Amino acid sequence: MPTPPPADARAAGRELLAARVRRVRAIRRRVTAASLATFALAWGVIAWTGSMGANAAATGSTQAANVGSTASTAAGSSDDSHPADSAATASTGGGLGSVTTAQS
Amino acid sequence: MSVLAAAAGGHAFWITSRAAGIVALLASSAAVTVGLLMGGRMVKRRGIELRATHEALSLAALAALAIHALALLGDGYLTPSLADVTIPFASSFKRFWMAVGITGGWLMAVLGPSYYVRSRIGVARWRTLHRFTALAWILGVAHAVGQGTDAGTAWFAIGLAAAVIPAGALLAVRLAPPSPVGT
Repeated sequence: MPTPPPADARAAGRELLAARVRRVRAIRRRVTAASLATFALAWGVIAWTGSMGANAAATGSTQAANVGSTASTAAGSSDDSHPADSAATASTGGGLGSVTTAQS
Repeated sequence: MSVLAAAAGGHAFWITSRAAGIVALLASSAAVTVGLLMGGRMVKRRGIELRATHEALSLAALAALAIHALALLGDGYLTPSLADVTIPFASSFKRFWMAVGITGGWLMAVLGPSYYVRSRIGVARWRTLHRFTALAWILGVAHAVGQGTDAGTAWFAIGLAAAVIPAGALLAVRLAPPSPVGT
């Protein structure tokens, strides 16, 4: 196999390097996009199921329970909720309420 | 956007911190997996791509880690101080698991970027140090399981398993003593 002339070899080398740089940039873009997409997805899922979903329902139930003095609904989900939700349940004996108070 | 704002209620910083924590966990697990694949010579060729992927995932994990900690500072309910989220055992909120996470975070923050000064500290020394990033990752996983608000949910458990099992298996293979030659 004939050896390519030096100028061609240099051009081929430059092309190889450029292709490598393009691949690395594409990888960085993909990882960045995947991370942002995961963040957005996680944010949405948490907002839906965490603050708005079960916990909000539990908190709402608890607040309703404060009026009606039935607090059983909050106890089971207090560990999955924002401490604020637990703070809301503190008067009903929610587990994290005292911790939150100690924190702030 | 108004739906998102309504969904978040007053918990935007809290949700942001949790979401960033999940990204940090997934990205660091993937980074450990790719790193172990590279170090163990389990994947032939594609060295440049693997290294670029490992680096990008590690940087993504570090960025998410910073957001995970700093977003908590804006939470109006926990109202943690900077010391609470950066110094182990300073916070009274789930003190042990918080300390585990902070320690893992600092380990990762120090050991990860050490790649960029490896020529200064010596490549052999850097390699030895870099192995401890696996310990940082293990602390992060323990923090997520022990303290994570979402740890009890099915979607989190599935995501965690999908990310952690491959990395854990590769780590176990790496740490296992080599089998004797000829057996």
